[in-house]
Amino acid sequence: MDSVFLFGQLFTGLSVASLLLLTALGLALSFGLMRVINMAHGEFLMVGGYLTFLAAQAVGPGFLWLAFPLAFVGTALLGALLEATVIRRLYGRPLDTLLATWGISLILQQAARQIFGSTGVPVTAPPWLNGAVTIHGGPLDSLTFPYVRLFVIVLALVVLGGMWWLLNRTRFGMHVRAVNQNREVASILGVNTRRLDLLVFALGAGIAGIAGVGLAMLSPVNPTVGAAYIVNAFLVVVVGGVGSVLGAGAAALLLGFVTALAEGLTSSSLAQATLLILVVVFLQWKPRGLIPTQSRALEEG
Amino acid sequence: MNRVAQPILLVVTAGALLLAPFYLSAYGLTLLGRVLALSIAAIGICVVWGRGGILSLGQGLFFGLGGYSLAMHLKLAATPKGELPDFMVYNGVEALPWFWVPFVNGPFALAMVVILPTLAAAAVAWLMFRRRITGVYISIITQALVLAFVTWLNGSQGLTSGTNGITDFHTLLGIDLRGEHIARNLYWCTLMVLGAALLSTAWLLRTHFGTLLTAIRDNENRVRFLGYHPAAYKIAAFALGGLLSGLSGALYTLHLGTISPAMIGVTFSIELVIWVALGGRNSLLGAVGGLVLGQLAKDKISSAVPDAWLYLMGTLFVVVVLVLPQGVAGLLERRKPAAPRRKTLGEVSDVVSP
Amino acid sequence: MSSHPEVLLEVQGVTVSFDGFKALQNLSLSVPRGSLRVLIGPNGAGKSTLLDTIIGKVRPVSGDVRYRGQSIITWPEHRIANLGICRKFQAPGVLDGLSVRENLRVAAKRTKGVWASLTRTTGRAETQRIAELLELINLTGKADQRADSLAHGEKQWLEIGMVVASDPELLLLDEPTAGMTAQETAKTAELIRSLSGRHTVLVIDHDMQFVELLDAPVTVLHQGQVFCEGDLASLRSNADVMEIYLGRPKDEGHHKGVGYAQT
Repeated sequence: MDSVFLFGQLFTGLSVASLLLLTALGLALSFGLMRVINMAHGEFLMVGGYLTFLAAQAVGPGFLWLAFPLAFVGTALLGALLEATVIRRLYGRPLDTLLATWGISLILQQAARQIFGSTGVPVTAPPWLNGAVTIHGGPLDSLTFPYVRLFVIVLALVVLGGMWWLLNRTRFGMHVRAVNQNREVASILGVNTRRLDLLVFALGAGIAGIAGVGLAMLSPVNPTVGAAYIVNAFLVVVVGGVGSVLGAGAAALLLGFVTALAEGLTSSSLAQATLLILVVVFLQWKPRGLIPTQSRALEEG
Repeated sequence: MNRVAQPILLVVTAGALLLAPFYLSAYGLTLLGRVLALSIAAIGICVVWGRGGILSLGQGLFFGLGGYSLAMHLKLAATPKGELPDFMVYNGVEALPWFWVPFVNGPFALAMVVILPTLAAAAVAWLMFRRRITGVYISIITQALVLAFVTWLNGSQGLTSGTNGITDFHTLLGIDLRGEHIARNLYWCTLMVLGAALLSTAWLLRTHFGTLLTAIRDNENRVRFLGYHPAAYKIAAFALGGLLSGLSGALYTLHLGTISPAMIGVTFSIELVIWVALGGRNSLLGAVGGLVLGQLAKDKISSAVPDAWLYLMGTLFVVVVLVLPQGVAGLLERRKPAAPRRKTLGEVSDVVSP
Repeated sequence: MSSHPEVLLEVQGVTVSFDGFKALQNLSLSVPRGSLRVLIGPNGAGKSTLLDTIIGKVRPVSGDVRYRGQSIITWPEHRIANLGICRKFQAPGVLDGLSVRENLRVAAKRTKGVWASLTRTTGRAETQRIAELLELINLTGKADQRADSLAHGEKQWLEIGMVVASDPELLLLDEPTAGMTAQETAKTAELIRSLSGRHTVLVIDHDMQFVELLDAPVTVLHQGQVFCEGDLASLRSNADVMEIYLGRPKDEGHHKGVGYAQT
């Protein structure tokens, strides 16, 4: 494997990791906070992608200014609706939540299939994102970095930074961390945990929606795109450590790189299969993930 | 349901199933046989999830191992001596892959139908429970494993026939699978296996082992600090679930005459679970009934209104979990006072439901 | 029988750390066979952590736990339990989905392996013993009721019954009377006293009336260390103990579990 190819794969891995990270952030948040696994989370990504498609249809090439708010607000509202109608009622029953949200994902996928058809709808990236940075000369001669992929990476960095700020520098974030540590105590201290659950869930959905914008620019949006990302996004959460944003980031990078490298070495299906096995092996070594959250409350859970 | 109606209903159902070949159409019989084969996997889910509290979303893996073990043998049996199976020829494979070789032997393949899924399940369970991985983690990992398996199958066209799956079977241990009475006999055979699986599992759950499974589900730490090794019990239960799934997969393959990755994937695995949830995760008969009726309904509805089916299925997931957490069996049991396990009249009479 | 009672359990210089917070600091304690010992101390003194360490739930960063002279610090939990160390947890740890009788049966089984659970049936002696235990813990009438339908105090009794059913050499009881009425508390004290001698018992409790009823040597823990030992009367006259633990003597006995001086 020559170095140009290797770096090309790594770069692709980085952009895939970015989308994975954005998808996993919401999962990590709601899993950390509510111990809830939302199987329909991938469909938020899908909805974000379709909303981007609609935005592009409505306003033409310069659609990004519309796509971002539309995807974020649209999926956040959908997330809020899901939390208020289903997830809230299943509090403390994580396995049942998993089944119920799988049902929701089936419904959303079928709806998408009927509205947009089962083949992917293409979204053309705005003109200013066409093109690529190409390295000339040196050992990495002719290595190219497409703008679109760079854009997705920057997008992930911005969102990750925003999340870090939100969680560590705001009152809202303090409440989230407090509930993460100990729900009962936090609620006694006056944190409105119900409202917080709703907000965090909607926020996680909204971030997945933003990831959908990125996704739409990399590949056509189809009804099963969410399902394709969800298992890996879960693995990011599991590998990263429950409820840890930093862990999710590290795990997304790790998974993205490993996939990209393995794809370079073997076929993509074998790479995927190997990755999944590697994750299971990894959990033997660190069952609580890369960056485990330690608290007595977790021990009992 | 009261004490008199229940056994009567059971006997009537069993009789109706036994005599089904005499009144069902050929299509109806094949469908019923297929669904009954599937319901053996439901028994496993009932043990692992209902009693053990372990939600595996990867039963398709063990189902597939059972199915493929048999299918590989059937494929080799249908291939003339000295030749390679057709799909290998198309894919330019020149020698029989090593893991195909022993499956030429019928008894070996039949043994593998049982051994391979059981061992795989035990190994997966050992890896997970040894490190005390619990709850949703198990669900995610098992789902990832079935996805890995299916992805590998799909990608290895020359070794496994990929997405097409293995098909075109003729004989099993010298019995012509296209023979006249084979459908009928296969049906009875399936019914027998199902009956045996039901009875032995029911016995198993009545032993101290069954009690401990529930105990571990409810409070693993308490059981551990009483001196039990919970992981050993969970591994045993999970292996049993794998065994039943494998049997189910092999029978299903025989009924359908084919097995492919799409039949054993993530969606299939989670659908098994929802039918068990619908019927009643804590009740063996509920789980089997839920799966059989659910699959029959699926067959009818999804061919009549294909677009509506997925909405219906999705809604079912949500409604069962929200409204019927113990399934239909739980609904029927509800009138009884707070679940006395040993049901002698004297014991029941002085228990007041809260 | 020697005149010096044999040491059953010896905790030697154990330090336990949770993310830098030292829950136990170089704590040593020795418990003679057949004795009854009470552990008291303010919240956060490390009482429950000490029990966690003995049963292997928490692994110390340094120190040793010796049982019958043998180091058990690295043993898996179920093997430690099988040595004959059984603990009652602070929150009642009963098996909700099983009947009261089944709860006791799970605890009483001598063989704990998977294979034995399939093949062994319940013998007459075991049935007899469970019937006696049901009498002892006053739950004969509710023997076939599911454990989760019991009242809080009854669950406490059931768990005590389970601990006794497992017939351990060393009983560790973590706040056995929390949530009990005064009468139930008195009865529990009586039961525990009757157990000592044949069994070795280590009890944690906050309730001074209960401790008084136990009439046993008391060890005071404070900030993860043994603060002092003695009988309750002498501790009561000890000004230091009053300061760290009893705080406001007039409150004593009115609070259970909470309300004492906290850091």
